[in-house]
Amino acid sequence: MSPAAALELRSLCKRFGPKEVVTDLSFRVEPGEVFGFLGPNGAGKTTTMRMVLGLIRPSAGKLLVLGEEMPAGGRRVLPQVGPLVETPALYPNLSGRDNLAVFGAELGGVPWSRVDELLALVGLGDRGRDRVARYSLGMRQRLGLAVALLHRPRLLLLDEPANGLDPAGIREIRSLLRNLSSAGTTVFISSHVLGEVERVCDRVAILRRGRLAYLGDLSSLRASTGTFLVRIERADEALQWLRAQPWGGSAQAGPDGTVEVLSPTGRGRDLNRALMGAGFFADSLVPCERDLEEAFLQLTEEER
Amino acid sequence: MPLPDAAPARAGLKAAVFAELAKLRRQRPTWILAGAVYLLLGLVLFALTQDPLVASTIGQRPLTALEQMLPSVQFVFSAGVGLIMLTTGSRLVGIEYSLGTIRIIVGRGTGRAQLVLAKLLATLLTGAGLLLGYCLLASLGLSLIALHFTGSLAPMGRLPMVGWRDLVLAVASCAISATACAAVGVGLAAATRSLTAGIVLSILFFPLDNALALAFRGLFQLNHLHLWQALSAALLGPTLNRLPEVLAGQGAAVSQALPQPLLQLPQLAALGVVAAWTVGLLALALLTSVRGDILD
Repeated sequence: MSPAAALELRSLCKRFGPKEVVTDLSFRVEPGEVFGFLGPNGAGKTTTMRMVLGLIRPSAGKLLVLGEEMPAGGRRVLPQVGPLVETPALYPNLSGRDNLAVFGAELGGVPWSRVDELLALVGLGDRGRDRVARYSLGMRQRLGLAVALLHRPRLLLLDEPANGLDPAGIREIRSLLRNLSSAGTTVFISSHVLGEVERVCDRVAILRRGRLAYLGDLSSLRASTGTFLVRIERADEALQWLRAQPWGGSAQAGPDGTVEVLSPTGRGRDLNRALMGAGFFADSLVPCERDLEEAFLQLTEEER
Repeated sequence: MPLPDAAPARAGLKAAVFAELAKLRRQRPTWILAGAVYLLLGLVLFALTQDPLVASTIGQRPLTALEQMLPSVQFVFSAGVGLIMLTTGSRLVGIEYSLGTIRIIVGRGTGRAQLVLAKLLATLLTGAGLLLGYCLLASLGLSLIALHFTGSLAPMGRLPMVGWRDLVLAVASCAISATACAAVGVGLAAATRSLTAGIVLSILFFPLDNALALAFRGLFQLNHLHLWQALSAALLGPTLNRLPEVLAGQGAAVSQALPQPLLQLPQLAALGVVAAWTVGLLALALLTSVRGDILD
């Protein structure tokens, strides 16, 4: 029997009135994994994270957090989850130390030594006694992360963790997340900073309009473009013909008499066969590799 | 980079109450208001040293002097600590929605109903602390008044049993009033899920309540419908205004100056009205917190 997933979604749906925000969402996040959760604004990422935290109830489907079904098991399992959802929610009239103490009290109390240790860990050791109202966005983000780490959660749920951080801060957080992951903590990151996701995540799920558009590792995502750079004679004519095909609308001219086009099936030989059938003979077909941003945009924009 | 050790994670009611008290401890407006109430008590006690009736009766008829002093002291508490309970209760609840900290607290396993109960209990514990402090200060003040006029504390020893009973009932009346105010503050903030709306509605609750009593009085004088009397008797504010009289069985000038219900409810019925409002507001707070999604 496989061990319980850190997070498992089975046909999860959420409706607000007639509008379905999350539709038939299914995936599994393994313990110790650093998992990226991507999607454009309004794709349903925050709604999904809120369902994980028991803040909103699913309309249909199943949601298991650390093996417990939500929202029924929330009281048992949520104390083992460290959330940083949307902007860091803190008490601005209290100091950073007091914020940690107050949130710690909710969990049965934490000693001051631990509060100071966490402040040092997120780089706020010398600003812990300042009121949060005076903190910059980056400092609030760091404190929000410290709040999420208060009780060393088994599952860390982070929404845009690099928000407001300078490059050095981003590097520190990246290193911290890697350390946490190697210590067994599952890290679930929702982010728009694709470069960051690319650097720290093992696998990603990409949402488009509440539906799962991609699930898998990043190397497959980059490779599985289905787009080819075709070196061909009479490139202009070929481009016109390709654009007239139902699958070739996105074809565009490439450098030096080449054409960049999506294969009708994703495979090079089928593209070649189609070209030959129309009287165009390719000198070469090179599969295009995209960066994560390209892949993301292609997956999330093609229905716009 | 060393990682911190795990801390015990318990999200029980006791822990939640402690967390609320920790927030309250750092809430400056609450303590400024409490200081103002105690200062006002000092001013009232000082004014009582200038009262000729107190001066002439405290030596030989301490019960008469007590009856002269108690209503003002009790009114300052009911109004002052009532306001603190209203603002503290609504602030404790509303601030979580306004700041979005509700996401963190509920998202780490604190039940919504438990959170509301913890906030109510923390507000009530603060009220109990304020009441205790108030009683100590008032006792000290009344003793100093006795010393001022008679040079000894003998009048307190001569206070008949009914005087002590009145004192206990005054404390009970203050506690009931503070509890009802806490329920109003918590209930309205939970229902609106907003700091601003919660505080504004809580502060407006009693003025509107009392204004309604006056409106019912006017309507009753117009058409003599029993309905207006019954409705006025179901109002919380006017019932609390009469509570000292209802409990102690005698009128006090201060509370009689405030709007009263048009019906003279017996003690148990008046307490029933207060209890119904308190339980009703708490139920409203629990229902609105437990039901629905947290989108704040």
